[in-house]
Amino acid sequence: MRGRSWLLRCYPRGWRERYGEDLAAYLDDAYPGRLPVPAALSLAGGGLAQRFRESAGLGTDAAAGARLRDGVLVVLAAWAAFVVAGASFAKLSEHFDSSLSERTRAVPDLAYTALQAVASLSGLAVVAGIAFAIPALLRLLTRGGWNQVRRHVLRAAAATVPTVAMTAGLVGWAHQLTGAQRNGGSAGYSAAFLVWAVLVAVSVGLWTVAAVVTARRLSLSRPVLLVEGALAITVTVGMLVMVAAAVTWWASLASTSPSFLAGGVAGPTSQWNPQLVATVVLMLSALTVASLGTVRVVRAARPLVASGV
Amino acid sequence: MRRANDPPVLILTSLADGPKHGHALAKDIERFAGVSLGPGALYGAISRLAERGLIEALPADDRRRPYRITDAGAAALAEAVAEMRRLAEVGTERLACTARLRRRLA
Repeated sequence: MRGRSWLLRCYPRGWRERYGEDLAAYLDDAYPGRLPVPAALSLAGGGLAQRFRESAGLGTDAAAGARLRDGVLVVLAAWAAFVVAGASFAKLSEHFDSSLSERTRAVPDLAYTALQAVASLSGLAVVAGIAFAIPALLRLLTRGGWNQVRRHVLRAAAATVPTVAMTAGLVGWAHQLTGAQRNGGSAGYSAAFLVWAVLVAVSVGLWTVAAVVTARRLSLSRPVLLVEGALAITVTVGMLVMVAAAVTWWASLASTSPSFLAGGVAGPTSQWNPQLVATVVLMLSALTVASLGTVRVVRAARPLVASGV
Repeated sequence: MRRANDPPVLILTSLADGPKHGHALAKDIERFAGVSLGPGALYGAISRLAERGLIEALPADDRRRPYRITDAGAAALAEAVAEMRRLAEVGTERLACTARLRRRLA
């Protein structure tokens, strides 16, 4: 048995992760006793051939597909963090143009509009990525895959229920408050808003975990994997543009209306609003993670593209 | 997929009548084609077919993972079978010509 596991190590790690257990079970079924020499040679040759194919980027291979999928999921997780940062940015930038004159409005307006447009396009790319995976998801569910992902989906759904309920309550409460009360004037509302924000972040995080766990069990064809990879690259580029737009917006507000960034109180450090700093740092962190995922996608896509779709 | 005894053709043919795991596949192929695939050849072909979307893995039953032919796999098998049928027809026709020639010469 020890010799078998040594022979299985002839195969690349990614391949073993996908087929190793199944191949080991096959060997136990087909060769319950000692492994015959021809079978051992077949295994060693198969493993080395697989390593050669992967190192030469020949044909399509499971490892490349798995790496591409992992890269896409890294981008998806980064996108979820970016959404949280984006929600924080949307709250911070509410009514910013009322603090600007016609003359100073052009640059921040343009940056903000660009950010909104690219956020919508990136969101559409994420939705398209989910849509392309739906047939594989249905196949997984109809073949008993629900049991494998149920725990994660139910946990995310359980976190979503109080989030939705609190959203409804908070919207109703906000309608009874003045603008000043909604923006720090009411301690109770501010505390509730903070709790709501944490709930939203937890729900987004749990749904992302559920999506990653589910996606790792999907059987995606090569064309679908390549489309998912292209969409992941699109989302990363979108995040890059949004970070640039957010920084441009911040810089122009800092020079033209620093008091807005400090909540109406101008001072020497007005432009360094802690919440805005944290928001942009989160955006940059998410962009960095997404970029790492995209590099993985591009590297894994090469052998898949080279072998033709 | 060119020849009838190519592992991918044999695997697709075996899966055409229902999902099977590795051992059942190997036994079925040995029964209908008389070909004994080594574990390296069998799983090399399985992984390549899966990557090309011609077969897909079903959820594992214990440690054994059954595979099933996809629509794309069925189309590829139909194409391979049609190609082999054309080859068989040409071969049969030419063998008949050779037999006629031999009869004339005899």
